[in-house]
Amino acid sequence: MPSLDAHLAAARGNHDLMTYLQTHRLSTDAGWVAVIAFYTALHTVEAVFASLRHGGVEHTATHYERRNVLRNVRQYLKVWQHYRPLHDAASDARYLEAGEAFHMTPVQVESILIDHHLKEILAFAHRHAALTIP
Amino acid sequence: MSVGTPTPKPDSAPGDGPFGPRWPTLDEVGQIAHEVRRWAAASGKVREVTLYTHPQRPTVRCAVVSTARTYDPALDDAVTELDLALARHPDLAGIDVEIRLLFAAGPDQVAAWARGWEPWLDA
Repeated sequence: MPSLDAHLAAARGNHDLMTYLQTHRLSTDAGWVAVIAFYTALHTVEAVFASLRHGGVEHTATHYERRNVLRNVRQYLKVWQHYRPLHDAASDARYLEAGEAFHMTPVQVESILIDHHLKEILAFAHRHAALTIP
Repeated sequence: MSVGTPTPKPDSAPGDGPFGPRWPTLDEVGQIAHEVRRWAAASGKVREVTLYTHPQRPTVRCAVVSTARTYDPALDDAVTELDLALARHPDLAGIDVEIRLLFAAGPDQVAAWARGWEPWLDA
């Protein structure tokens, strides 16, 4: 089971890469930016689990487990509100589940996924667990 | 609502882990279908809803296909609210419902997402 520090390092590494691609490649690689924004969120969530241990959960190993903890532990419902859109966008970007191209524009990836949903998850981690990612 | 899928395991069967979901009964799957379809009809932005069950997994999958291909953040947020409403529903709490919003996806794309799962059929 990865440690809290390991998840923090992964979250920060993903955030750094996301920021680099956001700055230099957003117009051509919005899908990858969405994917890395999601993985930043995932490792942040795991760091929050390891830190707060609400519901007795300090780690999840699969997307399935993570979804059930976020949906069912009252203290994490706010996180789930912002995690779900990131998860689904990243899934669509990776597998093109709904069509021939990723369904979000670069502007939407930046303004909705990063500046809204991811920002809220990072703020939750900072506010409730004193975890600072970027 | 009638049965068109394999019978889920008994509703008393435990899930895995501390927040592992419980197995839904047939009536509960029908109730989820009712709630999601009622929501979809009210949204005015949804072309179709299909529910899926799995013989070895307790998760109920739900494909929500929008009428428009363009990403709609309001609809995405509405799906989150629907998801949360199902999670908090007193009769449906503890059931793992996986809702996926697929923007104007075609039947083949929805089927690909639900590969290995079996559609819940209406009467």
